[in-house]
Amino acid sequence: MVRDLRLVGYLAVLVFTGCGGDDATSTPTQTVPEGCDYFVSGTDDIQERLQTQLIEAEANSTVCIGEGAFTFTTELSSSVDGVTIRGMGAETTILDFTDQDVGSNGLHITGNGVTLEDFEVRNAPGDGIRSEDVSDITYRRLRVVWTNVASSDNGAYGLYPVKSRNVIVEDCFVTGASDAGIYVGQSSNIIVRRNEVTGNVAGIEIENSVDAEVVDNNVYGNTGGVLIFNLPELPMKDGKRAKVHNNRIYDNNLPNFARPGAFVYNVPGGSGVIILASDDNEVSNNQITGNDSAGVILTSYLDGIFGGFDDPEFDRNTEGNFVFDNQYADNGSNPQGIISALGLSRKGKCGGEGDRICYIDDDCDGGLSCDGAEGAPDIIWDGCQGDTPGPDNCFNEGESVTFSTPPDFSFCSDAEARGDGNVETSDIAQYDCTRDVLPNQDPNLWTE
Amino acid sequence: MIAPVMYFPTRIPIFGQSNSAEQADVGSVIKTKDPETCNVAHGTHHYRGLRLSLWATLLLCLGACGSSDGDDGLGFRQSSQFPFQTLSEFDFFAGDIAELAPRDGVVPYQVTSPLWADHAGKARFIVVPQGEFIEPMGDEDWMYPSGTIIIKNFFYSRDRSRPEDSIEPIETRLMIKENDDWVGHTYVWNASLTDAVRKVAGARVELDFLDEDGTPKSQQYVVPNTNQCKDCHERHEESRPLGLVARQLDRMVIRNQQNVSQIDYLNAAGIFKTPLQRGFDGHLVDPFGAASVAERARSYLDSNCAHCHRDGGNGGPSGLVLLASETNPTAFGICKGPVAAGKATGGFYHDILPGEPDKSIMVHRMKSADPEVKMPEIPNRLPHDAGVALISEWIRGMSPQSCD
Repeated sequence: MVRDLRLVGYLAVLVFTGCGGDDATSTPTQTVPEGCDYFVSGTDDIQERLQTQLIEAEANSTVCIGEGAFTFTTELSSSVDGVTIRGMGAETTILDFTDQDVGSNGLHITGNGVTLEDFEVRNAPGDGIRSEDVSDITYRRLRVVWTNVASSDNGAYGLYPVKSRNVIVEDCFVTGASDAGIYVGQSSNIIVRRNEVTGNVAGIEIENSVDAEVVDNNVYGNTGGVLIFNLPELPMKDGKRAKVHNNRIYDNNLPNFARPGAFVYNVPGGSGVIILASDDNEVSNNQITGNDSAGVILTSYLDGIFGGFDDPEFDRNTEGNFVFDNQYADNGSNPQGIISALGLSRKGKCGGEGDRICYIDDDCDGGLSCDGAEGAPDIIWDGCQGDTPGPDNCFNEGESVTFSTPPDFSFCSDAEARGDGNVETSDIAQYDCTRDVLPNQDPNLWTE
Repeated sequence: MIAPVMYFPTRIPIFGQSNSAEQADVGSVIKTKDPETCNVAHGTHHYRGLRLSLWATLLLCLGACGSSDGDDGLGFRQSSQFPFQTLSEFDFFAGDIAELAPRDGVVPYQVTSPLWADHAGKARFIVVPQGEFIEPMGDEDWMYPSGTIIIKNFFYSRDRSRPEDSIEPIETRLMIKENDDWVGHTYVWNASLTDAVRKVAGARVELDFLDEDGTPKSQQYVVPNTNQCKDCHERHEESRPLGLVARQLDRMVIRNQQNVSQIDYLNAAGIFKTPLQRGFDGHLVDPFGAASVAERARSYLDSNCAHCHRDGGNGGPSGLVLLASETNPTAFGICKGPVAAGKATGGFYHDILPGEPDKSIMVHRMKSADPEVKMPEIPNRLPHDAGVALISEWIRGMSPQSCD
């Protein structure tokens, strides 16, 4: 360990003197830090040297990148299996793509068994880091940053594994994405844990994916906190079984800054968790607070909001989800967008006490007024089910939770017109049920 | 590493002589040249301008002006040493390497619908090891013997008022079959055009040229890094040739000053185990030829987009499938919403909004030079005006739908 520290210090000196313009020390490639098979540092020709090293690295080797801010004009890519790409720290090794004019991603990964750790990707024109069609990828202690706050010119996704298997995203920080900070799409076996995600349109999005665990994340200050989506017309169908638990999901009230046409443009600001057309998910033991539109929203794929689709395999309804034991506070106080347009109200009690539940427009006996408030409840469900309903959604929450007001279970009246059926219930107690708890994801049990 | 392979001359009995360079992408210009210039140009190859004239006319005359210096093919070239650091070490070309006059066994081919490459034209060849054969099965994904080399030379006209007389090679890309895998390599030509040097990390080349009005201009041309080969060539984690598919090859070509079926020509070249069949159902058409606008548009999208936009391709996750054979209108973009386009939607809601090219994301992205927005993502820098016009014309001619 002592030796490690000395090496790092030595390298820091080399990098520092390299900044002074001495060519001999600007590329101290001879001194490879312990644990690294290759070491790329110094700013001169960094584009060519790093890209060449990424291409020529042996399988299962470790390519380390020195401290400093390195600028790139072309997307970096790696296709070697088993490679680890490691910086000296997410605060100190910065890959800056502000001037990039070729390629859309900052870093593009196509090898299997890849680990990415301890560096920052800054201002990528498109996605920060994309891995596509890979197995066993780990994103660890990374920062992905767009320095312009809430700009629709920022790139779409921060960390973007897609069509992949066995995905771990942990201890990362992502801010500024004009779509989703952490986006796992069309993948299976997924852990997203201990990340800090803020200032994005969507904080964490799990889309058309199966068996995800989203745990111990700090998700705040986004337009929508955690989105579990299942969309039509995609190669991977039937996304389900995301377990979202023990996260802090708060103050996700950023006005939506996505471009129209982007799917997340539909996400109303102030949304804590949204489950869209996805089944058998779990939302449990989260702290969901201060989200101005609602804490948890379950919605089917409503034509009126999301547009039409042409996909006979697509099930637009949201079924078999289990929401329980979350803590709610201060959600729904200032609904935005579509949630505002719903005209919901929060339930209260007649005269502010006693057992008589009422809503703002209710008549209370004896001249008492209802203390229900303007604004949306903690949980909103559109109530839509298909002709052959799947398992019920279950909501097993504590006393303090507020739920969609009864008249508003008719959101899916357009579904009724379609002949898809409709749940017109005013009795939420009917859905106070339980389902089997989903298992946590265990990488040791993952197979290829 | 591949086992040593011997590359012997492949005889072409029908046409007798060695093959010559050919090209397709500036074909409309070259077709207008008088075949007589063949004779004029021959023998003037020591003069740069005229030599380039020769080269251009080779493209036209195909065979008649081919190399005739008694070359001995690739002979005992050791494939275990691949990739060489310079193009010349492969010994693909006889005489002045920049003329790209192929040795025997280096077989030219042309595609019907070329990929746009920032005004660069291309000269394509394939080399198959002696005694080995390609097994063509249907349209694509043929079986190639280890050691097969596909050669694509990119060239550029320095004077667009006389493009055929001012051609210089910029880069040469190779795909070499190493056992089960295709491995890509890029070679960048030196300024004196005496050789091309392997570049792993790609390159940017500043190209000076005269535009159609004779005005000096310059353009930055991007040579991709060798990882980026896979961005286009990889499908389901396996690299594949793109131009060598029946739907691209089933066309007429000029060989030995005769208009012949390319399928017949390639069959005669002796590179296939079983003959390729002519009249391939679903062959592409020239995007700027005489077919219907829909056929031309679909052919253009097939060759410019479908290497990614198909199942297993880089753009597969979008669900947009731009193969010409795709029959589901939603899959090829009609009223299809974007998935992961981010700001690249341009504020539009559908890949193709029928009747409205200027409200279609497809056209918006084809027109853009912004790296996040533009399509294809790499490696070209410049929008293809003719391609944009073609796709716009196609969309404009569709019956309007609201797509809601």
